[in-house]
This record gives sequence, C-alpha cells and structure tokens, in this order.
Amino acid sequence: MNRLTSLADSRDRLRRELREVHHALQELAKQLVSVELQTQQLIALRMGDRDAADRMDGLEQVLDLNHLATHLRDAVRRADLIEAPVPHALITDVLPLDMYEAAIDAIPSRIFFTPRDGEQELPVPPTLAPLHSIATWMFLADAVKQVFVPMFIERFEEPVDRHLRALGPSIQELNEAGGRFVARGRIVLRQPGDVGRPGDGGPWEWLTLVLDLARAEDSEEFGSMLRTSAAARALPFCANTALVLFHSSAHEFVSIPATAPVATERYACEFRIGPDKKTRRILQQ
Amino acid sequence: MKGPGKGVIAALLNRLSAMSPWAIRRNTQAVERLNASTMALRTELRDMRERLHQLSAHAADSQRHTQQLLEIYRRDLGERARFAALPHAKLRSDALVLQGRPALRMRVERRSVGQPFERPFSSWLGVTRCASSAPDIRALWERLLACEAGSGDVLRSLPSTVLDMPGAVVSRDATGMLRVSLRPQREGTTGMCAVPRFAYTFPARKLRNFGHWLLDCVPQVVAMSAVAPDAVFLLPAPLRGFHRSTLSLVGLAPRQMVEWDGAPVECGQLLVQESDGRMGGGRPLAALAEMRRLLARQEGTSNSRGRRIYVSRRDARNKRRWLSNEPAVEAVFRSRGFEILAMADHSLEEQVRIFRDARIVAGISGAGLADIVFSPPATHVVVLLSDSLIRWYADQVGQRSAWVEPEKATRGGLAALGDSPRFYVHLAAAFDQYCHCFLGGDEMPLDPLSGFLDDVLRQVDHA
Repeated sequence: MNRLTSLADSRDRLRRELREVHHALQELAKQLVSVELQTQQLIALRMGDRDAADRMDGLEQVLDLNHLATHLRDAVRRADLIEAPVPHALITDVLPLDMYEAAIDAIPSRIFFTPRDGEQELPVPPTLAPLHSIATWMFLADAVKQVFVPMFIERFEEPVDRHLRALGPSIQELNEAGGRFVARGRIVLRQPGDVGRPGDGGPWEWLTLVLDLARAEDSEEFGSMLRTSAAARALPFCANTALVLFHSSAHEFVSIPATAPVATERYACEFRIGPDKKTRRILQQ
Repeated sequence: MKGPGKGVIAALLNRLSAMSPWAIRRNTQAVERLNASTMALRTELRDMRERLHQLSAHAADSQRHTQQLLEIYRRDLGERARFAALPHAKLRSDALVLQGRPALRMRVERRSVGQPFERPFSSWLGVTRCASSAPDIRALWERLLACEAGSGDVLRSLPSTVLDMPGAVVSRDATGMLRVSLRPQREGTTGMCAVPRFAYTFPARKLRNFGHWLLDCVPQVVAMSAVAPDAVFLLPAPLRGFHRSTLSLVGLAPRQMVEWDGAPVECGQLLVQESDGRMGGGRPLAALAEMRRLLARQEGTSNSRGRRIYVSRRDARNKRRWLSNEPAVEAVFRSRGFEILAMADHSLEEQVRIFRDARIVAGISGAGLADIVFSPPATHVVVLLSDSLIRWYADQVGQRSAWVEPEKATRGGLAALGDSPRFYVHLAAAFDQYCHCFLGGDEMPLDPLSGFLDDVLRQVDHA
C-alpha cells in the first residue's frame, strides 16, 4: 500500500513540476518577444543613423515655418466651419505637399508604437525613433503650437466663447489672460480588429486636430466619425486632410474589422489643444 | 486530474491479496520500476526547470542590456534632434544661436560638468532678528521669511552644461547674442577656445563688481576648466587686475586669458557654456562648490581659525552705503573683538587668508561678504540688512523681488529667493556655514544690535 500511495504522490508532484516548467517556458517566451522587439528597434535606429545627416540636410529645404504659415492660412480660409453634429472644419491640402510627404516619410516603423486602448500610439514628437522622424515631428509639433493653434482659435472663436461663457469667463478674458495654449500630440496606428472609441480629451482640451496620414496605397475606408446623440457624420480617410473639431468626445476613428486584409494600416496624428496651466488658473479665478 | 481515491487503493489491495505470491511479486516489481522511472522523470524535470531559470535569467540580462542601449539612444537622439532642429537649434540659453546645416549641428555634444547640488538649508540657520521700526519693512520681512519657510528646505542647483563643437566661428553681436557658426572642419585650423556664459550674457556693470565676479563668473570658468583645462578663454574686455588675479587663483595661466571684443574668432574646437546650472535667481551652487573644493585643495587648512572679521563698506560707492551710522556699528563689533577691515585695502591673497582664518565673518550685505567663498565649513557668517536695502530689493524687477508676490516665489523653491535680501544666508548654508541675520533701520539701532551680537557670540562659543 505504501508503494502505491507513494506512486500516486510522485505523479502529483510530477504534474505540479510540469506546470511550473510550462509557466517558466511562457515567461521565457515573453522575455524573448520583448528582447526581439528591442533588438528590432536598435537595428532600425542604427540603420537610421547611417543616412541621418543627409536626411536632415534634405529636410532643411522642406520644413519651412513661414511657407507653412502662408499655405495654412489659405487652407483654413477655404474651409467652412460646420456646426453639426459638433462645430468642425475639414481642411483639405493642409500642409504643403513636400511637407506632407516628409511627414509620411517620418512615420516611424510600427515597432516603435505602444498599445493603448485597442490602438497603437506614439507621442509627438517621439522620443525613440530615427533622428529624421523625431526632427520632423518636432517641427510639426512646434508648427501646431505656433501656427495652427492661433489660426484655429480665431476660426473657432464663437464655439470657444460659448464654451467659456458656460464656464464663467469670456474670450475677451481669455485674451487678457495671455491666452497661451498647449497642444498634446500623438500618432495613432490602427490595424484590423481595432475598435473605434470616442475621444477622451479633458474638459480643458477644447479643440482636437486630426490629420489623416494617408499613404498612396491607402483607400478612403476606415476614416473618422463625428457623432453626437442627435446626429453623425462619416468622414473618409483622406491624404493631407485635417479635421478640426470642438472637443474630442464627438470624434472616433472608424473600427477596422478583424476580417480586413492583414496589411491594412491607418495612421493619423491627433493634437488636443487647450489653454496652458497658467491661463487655466487665471480663467478659474 | 485527481489521484486515485482511498476506495480505489483499497480495491487494489483487495485484488492484490487475492493474487498468488508470484503475481504479487511481479506487481510489486512493476510498482518499484514505476517509482524508479517517476523519480528519474522528476530529476529530469528538475534539471529542465533549473535550465529554464538560467535561460530566463540570461534573457532578463539581455532585456536589461538592450533596454540600457535604447535609453542611451533615446538620450542621444533627443539631444541630436534638438541641436539639428528646424528651423533652428533648441538650446537652454536664449542668448546663444547655433548656425549651420543640420548635419553639422547634430555633431554638437552637450557635456555636463559636475554633480547636481542639494543641501539642507535650515540646519545652518543661526540667530535671525528684525529690529526695524518701519511697518512696511517689517511686513516685507515677514513675507520674505514666510516665503522662505514655504519653499522647501533644500538648496538646489544643476550641473553646468557646455556645448562642445568641432570647427566653428564664434562672435558676439551688438545685442550681446553669441553666434556660433558651425563649419566643416578644415585642415590646419587648430586651437581650443572656451566661452564662459558671462562672456555673452552678463551686464558689463556687474562684471566690474567683485561680488558678482567671484560668485557668478569665476565658478563658470572653474566648470569649463574641468572639461578644457588647456583651452584659451575668450573673456569680455577689459580684464581688470582682480579679474586676472582671481582667475589665476583657480588655475588659469595668463596665456589662457584673452580679452575679447566679440569679433569673429575661428576655432578648431569651441566650447561654449550654455548654462551654469543656477536655478531661479540663485547662484551656480554646483559650480561654486567645485570652486571651493579646488581652493581648499590649493590652500590647505588653516591653523589659526579664531579671527573675528567685520567687513566694512567704507570703500563702497555712496549710493550703496546702506547704513547712516556705520562707524557706530563698527564700534559695536570692535568692542567684541572684531577686526574692522575694508576689502579694498587688501590684495586677493590677503583676502583669501583673512577669510580662511576667520571664525566669524560679519558685514552689511554686499560684495565684501562674497569672500565667504574662501571660508571653510562651520564658519559663522553675520549678515546685516537695513530698511533701504530691503526696499531696494523689493523695487527690483524679476527674481530679486519675487518674494514680494509669495505665490511666484514659492513655485521655484528656495532657488527663487537666491537673489533676494536673504541670498547670503542661502550662500552660507550652501557652503556649510552658520548664518545669522539682523535687520535694522538705516540708522542701525545699536542696543538691539548689541543684544543680537551677544546671542550670536554665545552660539559660537557654545558650538
């Protein structure tokens, strides 16, 4: 009887030990996936280093803030401010063509993106990406703050004023407070199976800018949706087209079904724009 | 899966008891063989698990190493992207412009000199007293002390940063802006030039002030010498005697001190101080600490540390004489064993010796007290402040009067008060020296001053 009991115990111990081995294998697999990703990132960065100097000199010819300001002023003037379903404007041909192409070229490889709420994202400017990507997006982030924001605030003066009055102060007080703004940016990557969600901007992130980063091979499918309880508007995924809307909660990216071709990718950059801390503090007093 | 229950084992035993001895022996042998093979399997599994743990540890090491490499890349890429940024480089100084193609700008290296500086403050505070009868001054004083109390208890500054550039032409324009034009390195261009921050972003009138020179400028040279001990320093003209003697004191050879009018200079390698690490309105404490270490190594320790020094402002310009009865104040100090000295009467070497030998250093807040930089730790510093001195600070713009609006001041921590009437108190604490402070009217009330001084002396004796 003792021998049989000991046999049964041995079998149980074997099972436990097998489970532990299985668990250790899973952990090892996870670690290897992470090492593999990091190695891929290192290779991409090293490869990016090789032609970084030439690329940077090339970008100097393209990333011209004054040219952008003139171009954008015309583009914003052409765009209508539409009130429904939420105040928004669709600005076509938003960047000079060569600048848009530089932006597309500067989208870092997907290995640099991190998952967040069913999407992949990368802050703007990215901190880990090839040099020309960081420099290009650094320029665009500065351009949004210095060029885009003043024009958009002027264009959306009425809805901003309405919103402000509901809070207490007026736009005049905003201007008197110095009216300094910040723009928090990210590049979003969507793939098959990703489900669109309404924007989650905070109450002080008044305006949202979504610039579709459509590449030549991308179709107009899986763009954006503007939605309120009363109305909705579908927007195609269009190259060099920016959607500017009042607040982000009415915006969502259209879901890409899991059955879509595996290679389907949709890149867009999104900026949430609102008053900086100092302006907020003054407005709240 | 569960193992066999008691019922199953009992049934097996029943069956076994019904078996012949031969069958029992055979079954027993089979069970033994099974047990042995199970043991062997378990041993193998244990080995496998051990190997897996070792592999996992290796993988974790690899993960950590690649992560470290990525962090190095992240820092390096961030720096290079800021230097090569379009339309122009993003620097930590608004008074500095980097010109040249992005490909040249991305070769610039930022070097950090020294360590971040952090010291506790209040543990160095001695006797603090206000004997001013002016209500506005008392209110300002209370506000200043409240501001200080609410600003945390740590004195901070950052390491200096120096931009290291191969092949550049440096010039200073009429507005004082430093322009660095990067060029591909040409053969035959040699020479390393260093431009400290005060050479391009410091008012000329402050350069003539010994206190500003000693506390703001010389530490910058010390920080730059640490990375370029043989560089030629481009220094704002004219260089006066005290400029040259203090620079010699920190190890600069005469050939390294070049008067510079801002005209373009081509260098094989150029080092430009981008920041001296000061925070808020404070002094560059990290660089000052480095300067004190350097001076302490050169001077050694003092054998006679009993002197009591009162630094007179008799040598100050009339508009900066903050007291109307300084002779009477000096008499109070003299009666308590203090030597009354005007620093203008002493060479730099003598000043260094006087302050190194002093146990107590006293004086009205001003350039003369800057020499406490030469005093060792645990020296007692007595700072006198007057009504007009407080009003002067309160009327200034920027950091000097930040404490008048407490909300502004406390946001920057103690560094925001680093250029307030309390700056010598902060400086003394940063040097590990005890600091005592007395505020009186422009006609300093002598009885309260005497009482204050006696209290200070009791503390000194007690220590």
